[in-house]
Order: sequence, then structure tokens, then C-alpha cells
Amino acid sequence: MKIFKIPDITTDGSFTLGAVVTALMLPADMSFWMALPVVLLAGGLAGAITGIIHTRLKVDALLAGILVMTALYSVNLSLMQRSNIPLINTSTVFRFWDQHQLYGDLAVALAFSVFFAGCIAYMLKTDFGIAMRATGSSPVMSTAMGVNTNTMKIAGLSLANALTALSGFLISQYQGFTDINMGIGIVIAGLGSVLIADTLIQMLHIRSMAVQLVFVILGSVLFQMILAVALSLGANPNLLKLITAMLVLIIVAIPALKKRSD
Amino acid sequence: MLKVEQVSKIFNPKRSNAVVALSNVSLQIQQGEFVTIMGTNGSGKSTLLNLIAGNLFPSSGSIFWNDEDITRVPEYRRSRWMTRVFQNPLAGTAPELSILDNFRLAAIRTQSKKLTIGTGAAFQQKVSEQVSALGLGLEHKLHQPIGMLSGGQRQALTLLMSVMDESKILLLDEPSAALDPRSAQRVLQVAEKIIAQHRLTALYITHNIKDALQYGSRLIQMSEGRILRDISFEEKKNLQPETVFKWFN
Repeated sequence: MKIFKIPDITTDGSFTLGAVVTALMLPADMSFWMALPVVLLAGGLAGAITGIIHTRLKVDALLAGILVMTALYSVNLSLMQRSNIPLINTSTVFRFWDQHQLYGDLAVALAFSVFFAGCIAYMLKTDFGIAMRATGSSPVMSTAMGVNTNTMKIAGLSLANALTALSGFLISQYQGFTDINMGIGIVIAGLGSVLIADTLIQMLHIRSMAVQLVFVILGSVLFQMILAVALSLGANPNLLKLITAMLVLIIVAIPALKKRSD
Repeated sequence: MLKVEQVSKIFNPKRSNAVVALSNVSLQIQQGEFVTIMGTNGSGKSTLLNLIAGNLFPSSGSIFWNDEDITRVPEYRRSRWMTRVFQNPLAGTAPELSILDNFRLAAIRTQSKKLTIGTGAAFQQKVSEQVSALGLGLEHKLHQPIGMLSGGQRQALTLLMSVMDESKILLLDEPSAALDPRSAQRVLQVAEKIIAQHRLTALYITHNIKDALQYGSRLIQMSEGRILRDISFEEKKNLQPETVFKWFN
């Protein structure tokens, strides 16, 4: 389930950006329904800037992402005015079904996943979606088929970062605060989740876009569960990023290690 | 009519490693003409094709299509009436996409890519019919990623895809050079068939003398960035492979 072959590091900044916008709007007595479109727009804008730097200024995609991520750190910090904003006494999206805390959280997370995965699954099946997937699969062929691959890349990166900002929106409300450093390493979590999903998709020969997306969501759940297990086994929380990096390294290295043993 | 007027292309101009790939080439090709281009490596054939495709822009001169100046029109816009089949049999299709999705993209080559689903039952039926004409049994594999097929199969599909949407010009850049003899023959036969069926203006680059004589209604030989010979259909019919072989020695 890779659309473009770009590891987009903008996510580390846009995840926090989504959380920052949330932390500024909710305590100011604005509902999460009002915050949601602003969050999506802010993330989308960040992704579009990365896309424009990459396509129009011909900067390597990885570097373009690093530049925007770095810039976003300052943007986020000046928006927040401090490094941490609590969201304890504000009405959040997770207070929707107030009584049953755990089931309520799950229901909200599930509702967002189903709605947005549904939208993306539909989009990927449309003519626009086919053109977007083709852009990642074969830029030469796509150009010959009348696809403006630059516009497609900008649209795709914009969409991806809008969704990343949405994650920041949800996580900040779930954990009850927004922190300037909460986005560090998010790109690795995303990459790891997609890689786990890709392994399963290849193994089970899954062709349907919708089912592939379900596996990407399962991949991210699995990824977080492995980390949770590591922590519950007594791993030092300070080593969490190290464990995350090792985990992704193992997933990435499996094909090469398999080849060696054959 | 496709008109190339005094076109030159110089790579790295004004530097010590400057290369004159094309110098003052003029060429007129009528609608429905199937022009075969031969020439040694570095003779400028591919550069000429790239300039017509809009992949490169000329250093000087102009290119017209039906009296419209298209010299500086970018490639993705020319794709509204122009399709190209590459030497690399894998280049014309997107490997991760299914046969069906590849054909869908080809079917909307000249149109905007909208947020509507176009791969419904009617479209699948149409693709299935087209693909089954190849006799390769691919109509049962429409939902498989096209990357799982062989180069010969993919090149044949690429040709079919080129006429899924309205097309006027077909550029064939050694389309069969990387294929085994049987696949190569099949690809060229499909090409000949669709060129005749859709009255396409076609340019076909090849190094194979036999193919050059068998296919095409006009033969051009290029050398050192110029057109050396321009042979009409009547002359070409009587041309012997030995004669052509001598041109290159």
C-alpha cells in the first residue's frame, strides 16, 4: 500500500501542527467540529508546501520534507507560545459518549478510521485515484497518459499530511495535552505500520484497495501493540524511540535476511 | 500533418562537451503515414522522436501539427493526441496497477481525471474484448498487477492501450528491440493493425533491416543529425535488404 515511493518527513511537523491547532481552538470554546476542518487544512497546506518545494524547485523529496518539518517546529512553537498545552478541562471528541470511557474511545477511533479509510478507498478507485497511484508506480507512463505528475504529487502529499494532522488532532485530545515534541519519530511509526501491512498484503495476495486500507490500519495497531508489549515487559520508556527504530529496522531487513538464508 | 521545420538540437551548448544531436532537420509527414526511421546510434533518431513527443525542446526551429505551432507545448499536453511506445517494454505500463486500471488510465488519456469510478462492468467488458484479441488469455487476468506479466505481453498491451482514447500520432521507439523474435513479431503486427484501423500518423525507429522493410509506408535514414535518405512507399517495395545493409557500411 505505497502510493508514492517518498518517505515524507513533513509528517513529524504536521502531526504536531494538527495537535497545536486543536490545543489552540478547543480551550477557546470552539467545538472539535470547528477545529477539524482547520486541522485538515493546516496539515494539507504543510504537505502542499513540501510538494511544491519538491516538484517546482526540484529539491529531493526527502530534503523538502526535512526543510518543512524543521520550519514547522518554529511555527508550532510560536503558535503555542510554550512547549506544552494541557487539554484537561476542555470538551474533546472522546467525551462524545461520556459514560463508558473505554468503549467510547474505541468507538470514536473506529468511527474516524472507518469514515476516512472509506473516503480514501473510494478516492483510490476513481480515475483521479488511478492517476495518483500510477504517478507513484511509473511517472514516465503517467506523463504519457496525460497526468500532470507534479500536481498529483502535491495533491498526494497534501492529502497525506492532512490525515497526519488529523492524527495529531485525535492523539492530543486522547492523551489530554499537546506537546511540541510529540511528533518526533511519527514518520517511523507510519512507515513501520505501512511496511507491516505491505508484508501481509503480499502474503495474502490482496488486490482490493478497501481491504488493503483495512490492513494498513491493522498494521498500525499491530505496530503500537508490539511497542506496548515491549514496554509492559519492563523496557525503559526512555528507550521507546530506540525500540521503535529497531522494530522498523527488523521489518525492513526481513526480505534481505530471508534471501541470505535461502 | 506533422511538420518539422529546420529543427536543431544542441546538448550542453557553448561548452567544451557540446553535442549537435540534430542540425537543421526538416520533415513533413501526412496523416496516416507510417514512417520507419533507421540510423546508427547517435544519428539523432531518438532526439527527433523526443522533440516531437515534447520530452525535449529544440534549440532552434519549429514543430507544427496541423498548422498549430507545438514547439514548446509540454509533453503531458501533447499526450492529448500523441502516444508513445518505448524501447523498454516495461515503460508503457504502471507495474503496481492492475491491467484494468492501466487500461482505464489509457482510456482517459485526453480527459481530466475525475473523482468518479470508471472501471465498472461495461468498461471491464470492453477491455476484456480488446485484450482477448491478442490470444494470450490475459482477459482472465484483468485484476492482476500488470507487473506480473512478461515484457512481450506488456508491450502488446501498451500498444492496445495507446488507442483506447483518441489518438492521432503514434511514436514507436524500437518497441520490439528488447523482445524475443516471436513477441517482437506480435508487437509489430499489433502496431501495424492499429495504425491502419485508426489512420494514425506513425513514426517507428528500428535497427532491424528486415522489420524496416516489412513495416511502414516510408523509410528515412538518418546520419549525424541529418536526414540522409527519404524513400517513398513505391521505392521501398523494391528495396533489397542487401542494399540497405550497404548503407551502414
